[in-house]
Order: sequence, then C-alpha cells, then structure tokens
Amino acid sequence: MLIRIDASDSGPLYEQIAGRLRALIADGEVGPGDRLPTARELAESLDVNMHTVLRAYGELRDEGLVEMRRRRGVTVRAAGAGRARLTELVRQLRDEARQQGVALEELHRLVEEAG
Amino acid sequence: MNVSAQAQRLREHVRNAWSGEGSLMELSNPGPGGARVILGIVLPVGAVLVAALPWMVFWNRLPDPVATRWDLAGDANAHMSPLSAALLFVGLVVVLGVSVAAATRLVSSRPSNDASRGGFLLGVLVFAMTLMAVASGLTVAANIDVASWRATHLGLGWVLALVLFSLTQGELGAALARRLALTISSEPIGEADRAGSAVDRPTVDLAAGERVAWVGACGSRVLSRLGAGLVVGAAVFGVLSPVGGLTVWAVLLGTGLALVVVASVRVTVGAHGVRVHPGMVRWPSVVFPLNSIGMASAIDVGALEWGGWGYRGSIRVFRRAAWVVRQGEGLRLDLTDGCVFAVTVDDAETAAAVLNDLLSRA
Repeated sequence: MLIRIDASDSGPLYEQIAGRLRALIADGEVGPGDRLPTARELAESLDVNMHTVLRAYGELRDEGLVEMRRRRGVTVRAAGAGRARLTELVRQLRDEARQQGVALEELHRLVEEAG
Repeated sequence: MNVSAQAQRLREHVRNAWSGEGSLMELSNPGPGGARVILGIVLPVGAVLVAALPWMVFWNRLPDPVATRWDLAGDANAHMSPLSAALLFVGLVVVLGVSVAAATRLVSSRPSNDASRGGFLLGVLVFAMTLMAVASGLTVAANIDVASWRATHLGLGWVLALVLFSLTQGELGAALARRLALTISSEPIGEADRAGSAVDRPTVDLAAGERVAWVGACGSRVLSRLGAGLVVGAAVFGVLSPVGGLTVWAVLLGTGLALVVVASVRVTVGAHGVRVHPGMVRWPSVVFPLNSIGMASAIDVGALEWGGWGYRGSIRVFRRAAWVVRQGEGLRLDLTDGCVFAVTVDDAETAAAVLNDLLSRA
C-alpha cells in the first residue's frame, strides 16, 4: 500500500496520515483483517515521529475503522470500509457546509430533516 | 541528478566492483580462478577421498557381508559383499565427481548472463556427489568392528544430518557456479537491461517535500504449511521418542521454524530506504539505506535463477542475494557497490517507482 503525504497540504501531519489511510480503507485497497504497517515501520518510512503515526491510528480506531491490539498490531475491522466511506462523506459534507458558510447547527438540522 | 548521470555512476560502480579492487571481502570471496579450482578439483577430489578412504583404511575390520541400508529405527535391513558395496559407492562418487568437473568446465567456457542453469545443475550434482560420498563413509563407520551386518545400527538423525550437510554443499556449489558464470561474463548484470529500464523507469511523480511510504508483502502457503507441518512433526516425535531422538527432533524443529520464518516477507520502502523482514516477526531484517541503492526495478523472479526458495546467496560473499518466497513479481535493487538484491513482493512496480523517485530526489 502506498501512503503519500503532501508537504504543501495544511493541517496537522497525523490528520493527513489518518486521511490517507482512511481513503485506502474506503477504497478497499486494504480489506477487513488486513494488517496495517506498525507505527514504527510507518514512522521510519515517512520520516515522522512514531507518536504522530500512533495518533493517526488512534483516530482511526475511534472512528471504528481499525482495531489496535498489543502484539497483533493494527488490523482493519470488518465494518471498516463502510465506516471509512461514511466518515469521508461526513467530512466532505462538513467542508462543503463550511465553504457555503452554513453553521454546524444548521447542518445538524438539515441532516435530521433528511432522515 | 539526471538519469544518464546516474546510469553512468552505476556503470562505474559495477566496473570497479568487478575489476576486483582489493578489499577485506576478497579473503572469503573466491575470484573466478578460485571458484573454478574449488568446484572443478577440490570438491570432486575431496568427495572421492571421503568415499574411498574409509573402505581402504578399515577394510580388515568390516564384516562380510556389510549392512548397506537401515530402517527408520536404525536397524539394518539390507546387505552386500564389502567389495560390491565399496565399488558401487566409490564408482558412483567418481562418476558424479567427473560430472561436476565437466559441468564446471562447461560453465566457465561458455560466458553467459544466464548463470541460473549452470548454477542449478552444479548445485544438484554437488548435492548428489556429497550425499553419496558421505553415505559411503557413514556406511563404513556403521560397519566397523561388528560381528555381523545385523548388529549394525545407523540412526535417522545421522541420515537427516547427511541430507542437510549435502544440501549446504549443493548450495555452495550452486553459488560458486553462478559466481563463476557471472564473473567471466563480459557484461556482468545485463548492461542492456539496465539502460533500457533506466530510460522508461516507472515513477509515481513524487513532489518535492512529499513524504511517502510503501508497504508490500507476499507469502507462500505451501512453504508455511510445510514449515508448520515440520514443527508439529517435531513435537510429535519429541513426545513419542523422547530418548535418543534429540538430533532428529532438533533438525525437524529448526528446519520447520526456519521455513515458517522465510515463508512470508514484508517490504517497506521510504525515507529510510528498503527494509525486508519476515512477515510474522520483525527479525531478522535486511536494510538497504537509500544512499546504498543505485537503482530499483520490478522484475520477474524465477526461483531457479536466484538459487531456489528462501534467503539465497549472500551480499557479502557472492555480491548477490535474494529472498524468494514464490515465483513471479519482485523488486530488484542494484546497489551502488555493484551488488544485487532481489525480493519477491506483490506490486513491486510501485515499490520500484517510489524508490527511484526518492533516489532522484536525494
């Protein structure tokens, strides 16, 4: 799997790493049960601090995309792909709303009305 | 640095490496002459001596007939007159020794970039020759000073040790033959190939300042199952015959574990260069820092070409090594000091592209 972090991108490094991994999971490039590189491996390759990678993994875990276990490392959860797509769509929605100047409460209301 | 300058630099490195500028490595690194002498003379003559001398020295202390085959429990189950047995063993080893010498001549008289076939052929021949020679010696050893052939005993551990030792000798023979064929060839590692791939080398268009990591893996179910089977076999063997079977047990367990470890491989590419380690554990790992790599390419790995499955060859001794888990797609690294490393891995094309981009940026 290829993980590229654009230097010109704004936003914290860990978010960029998490974003790229999320996209890989959403596209099914890494499937359920697949092992992600260890934090140390990824940190070494990307030349970033290991805690930056761990923070990215922590974020993905909180979103329900991956499972982090001692010894077994980080694996993609069965529901990972669906959750990743959903998370990506929500982020797109948020960005679009932000661009149009729609406040978060307003967005909440829109989503609730749609449901 | 542009592509042609890089190719030029590589060519120089290769030339320096092959011209054999003295280095510490040379001591343990036989040149073409040394390899030819070892393969064509030392190994065959040694094998014939190992096969024949025990018969000559211990002739008067052997029973008639002598035992020539033993069952799994180590009890003799076939016999022959000493003269027939000696002639059979020594004759076979002489024939094989002559074949090894002839094959060595053939390999060194026909320069070819395709060192694989000669290497494989010589590997098999040296394996068979060693096996017969040591078996001959073992047969004598088992028969010394016994009243009758039925009283002899040869444990399975000895047989396994014999096979393992012969395998390492075959391995050595194959490596020497490849080295021989490569060294006498005027274009050591395919100058044309190199130039070709240097022109249309793959790229991922890495931007300045962009960080990149590539992780790939591949594994062989056959190898890992075989390894697991051996480990289980060792466990069963250990339980069933705890006494006397320590050699067999250790050999089975060691081989099984080693197989499981090399059956899968994980490759990471990034700012650190290339790291290769077993799929299950992080140790042992092979690391090539970016500044040691001249160029990367995706190749089709044929197992015979690199000497079989597992970790083959040695960068330090033979300037060529490969980690082969299956046939097919693999990543080849041409190091700046002229050494070559290859590892089988899925999507090697992307790995090579990332590496070349990192290299041209460095």
